[in-house]
Amino acid sequence: MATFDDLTDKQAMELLGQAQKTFESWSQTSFAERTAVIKRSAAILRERSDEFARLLTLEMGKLYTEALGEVELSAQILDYYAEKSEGFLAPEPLETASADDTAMLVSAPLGVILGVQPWNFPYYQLARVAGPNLMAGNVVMVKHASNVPQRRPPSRSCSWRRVHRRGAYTNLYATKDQDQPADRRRSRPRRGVDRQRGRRRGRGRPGGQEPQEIHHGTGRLGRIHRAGRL
Amino acid sequence: MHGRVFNGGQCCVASKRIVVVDEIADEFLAKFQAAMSELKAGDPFDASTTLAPMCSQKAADDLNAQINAAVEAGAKAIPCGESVPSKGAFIQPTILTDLTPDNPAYYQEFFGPVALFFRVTDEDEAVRLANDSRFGLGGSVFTSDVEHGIEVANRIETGMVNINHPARLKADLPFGGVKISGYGHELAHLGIEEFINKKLINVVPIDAPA
Repeated sequence: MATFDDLTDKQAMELLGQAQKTFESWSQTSFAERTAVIKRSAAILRERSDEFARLLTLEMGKLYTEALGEVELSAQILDYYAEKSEGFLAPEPLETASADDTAMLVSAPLGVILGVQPWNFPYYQLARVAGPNLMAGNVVMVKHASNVPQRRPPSRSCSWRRVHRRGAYTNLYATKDQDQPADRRRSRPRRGVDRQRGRRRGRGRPGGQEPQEIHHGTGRLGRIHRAGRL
Repeated sequence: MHGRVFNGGQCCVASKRIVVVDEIADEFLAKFQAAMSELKAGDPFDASTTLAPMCSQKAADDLNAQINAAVEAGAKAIPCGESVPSKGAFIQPTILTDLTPDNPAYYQEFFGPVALFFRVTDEDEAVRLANDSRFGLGGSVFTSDVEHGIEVANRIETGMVNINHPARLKADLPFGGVKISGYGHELAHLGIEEFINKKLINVVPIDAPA
């Protein structure tokens, strides 16, 4: 048996502040540097697969053999994004009608991404948020399901410790109320995307109200979205 | 069968509803029931265990209540295999048949080793039934005619359809759904594009006409 303290509101806001600050440096790192960190974390998942798989089986009862499979799949996802992201995010030249335009689309990171994660595939769900977003230069905060509190990346490794120390990946023992966006808790009336229902509300309301701040999100059993601005 | 009971049946993209055309339904059901009956519940650390417990006692209690409600509303429950241990949040592997649209279970998701079995007259009815759902995450088409399977897959309203496989989870295959199964994608190139600022940078001669 183990217990884990909930975050206080103050702690949650401090971590969010730290993550935002980290974004400023992490988003400036090279693909080579990010690749080294993510590749190393995939290697650690494999090296210590037994330890990580046991935690899954202990916390949510998954068959140990399936837990081992999940750890390996998570490592594959991290490797995949470590190897492919630079290509996926390469600048794309645009064809333009006017010779006066020399246009391209670049893929810039967005900021702090908050993942509210379900319990049924603790590592896999995490890998598919952390892998692509850290590689893209975003910073990731994760609120795990309350019944699987111990899952986290292999934080004792040097590279992950570096990511942690920089705040590029933060584990939140947040309460259900705290995973509401910060701006909502500050009683702003609405935010751009209602994550639970996935409705975009960013285009303003009938009756001429000002458009609200727009947040992008994806939603399924877990939810991922950009954390509220500080 | 694996598609239904993987992860103790607690998988968003598990094969929860199984739709079979009449001409092979009896044979399919017999084989499916036999496979479900082979499952061995027990300690999830034990390599010989093939059926995991549910994630909590509450999850098991809720699922049993859901099975009972389905039966009360007219479904037939086929319990499979030996009785599972009474301790440890296990669910008896179960196949529910005779589900009619007025049964609440018809539109429900069963998050555990409980399969909903539907018998249909032909392919058109199978596609109609498959699409008659609030959910739209994954689907599968099992056929020896792959070309035709792709045609059927094109008519299924889900984010993913695998031909001859319950659900492939791979880094390079995008994962996503429609309807109340969510929005956006994870994995593959689509997954990394969700939280990106696709920014235009345009270089224009300083004296270009407006």
